[in-house]
Amino acid sequence: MKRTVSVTASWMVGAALLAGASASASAAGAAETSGVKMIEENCGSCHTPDSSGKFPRISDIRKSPEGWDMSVSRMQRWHGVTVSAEARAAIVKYLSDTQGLAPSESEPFRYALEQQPGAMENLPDPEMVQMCGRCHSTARPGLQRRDAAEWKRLINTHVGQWPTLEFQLLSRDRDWWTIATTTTTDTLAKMWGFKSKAWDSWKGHKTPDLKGTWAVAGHQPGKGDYSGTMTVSGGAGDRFDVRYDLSYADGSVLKADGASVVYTGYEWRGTVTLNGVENREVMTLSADGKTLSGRWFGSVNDELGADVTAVKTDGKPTLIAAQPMALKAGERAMVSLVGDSLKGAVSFGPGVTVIDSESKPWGLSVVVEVAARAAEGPREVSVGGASLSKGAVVYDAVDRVTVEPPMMIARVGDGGGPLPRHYAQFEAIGYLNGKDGKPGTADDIRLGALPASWSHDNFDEAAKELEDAKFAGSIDSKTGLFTPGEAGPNPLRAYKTNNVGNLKVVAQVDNGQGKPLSAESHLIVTVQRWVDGWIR
Amino acid sequence: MAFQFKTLARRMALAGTVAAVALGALASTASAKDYLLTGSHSGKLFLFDPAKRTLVREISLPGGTPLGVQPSSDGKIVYVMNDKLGALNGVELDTGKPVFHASLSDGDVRGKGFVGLALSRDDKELYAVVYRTRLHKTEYEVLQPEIQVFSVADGLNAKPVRTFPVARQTAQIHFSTDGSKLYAIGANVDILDPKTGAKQDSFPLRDGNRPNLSAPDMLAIWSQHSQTNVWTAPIFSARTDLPQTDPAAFQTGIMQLDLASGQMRMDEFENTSHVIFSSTLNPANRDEVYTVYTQLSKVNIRDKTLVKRVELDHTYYAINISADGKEVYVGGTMDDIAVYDTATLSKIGSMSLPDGSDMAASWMQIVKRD
Ligand code: HEC
Ligand code: HEC
Repeated sequence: MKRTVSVTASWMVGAALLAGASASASAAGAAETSGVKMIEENCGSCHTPDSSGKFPRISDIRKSPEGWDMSVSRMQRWHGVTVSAEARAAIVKYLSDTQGLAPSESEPFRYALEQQPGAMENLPDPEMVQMCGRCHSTARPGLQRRDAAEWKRLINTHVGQWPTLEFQLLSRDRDWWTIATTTTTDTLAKMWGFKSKAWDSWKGHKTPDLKGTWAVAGHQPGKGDYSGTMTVSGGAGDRFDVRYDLSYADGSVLKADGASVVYTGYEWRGTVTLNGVENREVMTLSADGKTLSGRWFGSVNDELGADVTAVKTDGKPTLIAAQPMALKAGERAMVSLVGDSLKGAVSFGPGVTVIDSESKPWGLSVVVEVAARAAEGPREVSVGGASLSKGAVVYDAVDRVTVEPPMMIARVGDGGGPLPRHYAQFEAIGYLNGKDGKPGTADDIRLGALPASWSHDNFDEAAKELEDAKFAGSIDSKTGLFTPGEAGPNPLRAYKTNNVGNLKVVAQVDNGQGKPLSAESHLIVTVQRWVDGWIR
Repeated sequence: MAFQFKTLARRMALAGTVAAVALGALASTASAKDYLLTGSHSGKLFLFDPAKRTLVREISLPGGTPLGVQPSSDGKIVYVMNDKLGALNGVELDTGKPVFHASLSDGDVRGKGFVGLALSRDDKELYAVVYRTRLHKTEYEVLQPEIQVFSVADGLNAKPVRTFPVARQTAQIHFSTDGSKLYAIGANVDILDPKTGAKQDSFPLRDGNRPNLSAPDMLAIWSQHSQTNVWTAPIFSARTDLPQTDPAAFQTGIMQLDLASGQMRMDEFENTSHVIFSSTLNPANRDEVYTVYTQLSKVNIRDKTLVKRVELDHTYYAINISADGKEVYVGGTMDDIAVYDTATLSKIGSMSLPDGSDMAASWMQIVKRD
């Protein structure tokens, strides 16, 4: 079935909005005082405040910034509400600050906010997954808080808007409406009720002063580790300007300017243009305001991105990363120790000798020599008073390898169609089997990403018959980046089908001693996503 | 000679009478020819002469893409559920002239139909299953679904003449051949009084208790039973006595509802191996059911066996059959209708929509016309 793409386009506009890039600081500065006024002006014609000043519906829900923005977007799309970009940004900011989620409430669903590729949900209630997790993630409701009456209203919205919902697979086999408005409503209200201790104690938390230099460390699948600094300025209305100065393990350098807004005292949302591509940042600020962590990813190709941790250099010795983490016995390595105020003796434990060290804006660059007989296993890394447990791992030979993500979806695109391709980036992750010598047990030790040679093949007989491996796309043998085929029916294929496919992706890795190890992932290449939102 | 001549004349006269009688019989019963009627994404109706494999007529509908398509019994008027499932429209098949319109919404109550669309056996009343939502200022309130009854004589601004509540998840509705019962097919099959909506009886599907079988998952979207008055639909059930890994753990079957006798039955005929969207019974051999999706299958429903299955050029949602049971027509989904020989399941013809638009889920009905 064909659908319009206007929805997607409106999310693209939103992407810049949520990060504050298009709203002026002056409008934002007034946000706190004008939040209520903005709601009155833009929403009050329908959500008319009652005698106590409460806005019906709006005042009874708590949501993430993304959730609030999705609501305003729906008001525009369904109810013809016109809201200027500035008003939309101010309303989302105000509602996120005053009716947001505590860090512990959003924590289980960071994967959805960060658009982590290949993320799997594991809600313990299978009925809830069938009821509320088959069209979108359960993170969508999981990132909201409401009482039973409000959850029930939301269910009314669903069935009122999509009456055919009750006839779909996993609806028509049950009395969907009765279950949804009784059992499911009760479960939702119990798991994700409006009032919570966590929110009561977090509510009103102000954004700390973030101005200054931060040391940054991260890992970008397909490219490798990076480190550097981030300089934050501004702060009026929780809006910040950011300058990045980063370098990758392969020597390439990345300098960029960005802007961000902090919501609810901890939800950092930024935009930054990297090598000409607009990226979004979704990070959380620790309660002490010292550490930011999360992910940045393409505004369009959100499957491509990197994890990131940043620590404010305010004089409190802190170590956030040693790059690379895996040190091979009998070899010499240059290691970047990233953090704040890294001064004093450097230690990786017995068998690892530091032979050189140089101070950097982001920490310390050291050269270490690992003894041939150094014991395999995780090491605490320390610099003066700062330390990182399991900050490094010494290994002799890689015991096994896995491919991450173990299951992934890529989407056809381009080819004259309105939507771009969505890629799949794979990484080969090395492991030691640990003390018990057995693979796949709790004591296994992760070594991080290893260089691999990549290939893809048909997943099964059915895929072979339809020649999926030939049509669905190709993988870069060095980087593990899979590029799916073009959108649209392919006249060369059986049934003139799209370039979809069911594939396996194979990584070949050297164990460090000339022995090949291999591992696989399951890749499904499917059609475009016509309707999209911040929280899928 | 004279006698012989006379005799011959009498014989000829006699023969003439016989011929006339035979003709009359044909005209009143079987002389009406079968046409195939379907709708498309371009908001049109297409009428084909399947014997000639030709398009006879193309009609632009008010209200766009139809889902349910219901011809009157004389083949003169076609009613559709369209306008984003928000309205019923009727057009004259000969001229394309709009003759009926009813919005399913009323004031702040938004009504949406789905596949519940039926015409009374006397062609006078149109019945629709309507899902209703009250649009408050800042919230939606889901209301009890209704069957709304319209008098087709009310023309272009029709309002329901009667309404009565119906169970949620009611999909299709069909009249018994004598018009005295309305079968509401949903979670179960409720047998309603078409005048009052009173439930007279119910045939259990979800609430049924078949030994070692789960409640059937039934796909009940298409109406394609006019050649037999036996409504059929594919059903999928799980064996409750077998582990999920057993090849027989999931069963495909056919549900039949005989609108003449009121008989209903479900017969499993194979371990689930293929998706099936819809089915139709053979008027010339009521043991045979034809089913369609990416394959065309012939099922002997009395022996509960798959007789034959062939791959199709692409997926088709809808299927219908000629009055003599010799040809099946597979349609829906894309822009072509393929014709298959029921004896061999080989493809013997095709027809296509001239504007290349998709039939999607539109019904494909047989219309009997002179
Ligand atoms: C033209 C009338 C109208 C205006 C103006 C309007 N809304 Fe709504 N709002 C509705 C309706 C109708 C619903 C119920 C249906 C729905 O949820 O979309 C609703 C529901 C809501 C909900 C509850 C949705 C949920 O279940 O999470 C929120 C939150 C909301 N509106 C926020 C806003 C905000 C913020 C504004 C101003 C930017 C606004 N509305 C402006 C009509 C309006
Ligand atoms: C038939 C598919 C479907 C099912 C089943 C479904 N949803 Fe949704 N849901 C949607 C779509 C589509 C939207 C986006 C609406 C829009 O365009 O704003 C949505 C939006 C939402 C939102 C965000 C809306 C807002 O304004 O805050 C929440 C929360 C949500 N759903 C929760 C649920 C819960 C809880 C259930 C189970 C009772 C559920 N959904 C079941 C399709 C579904």
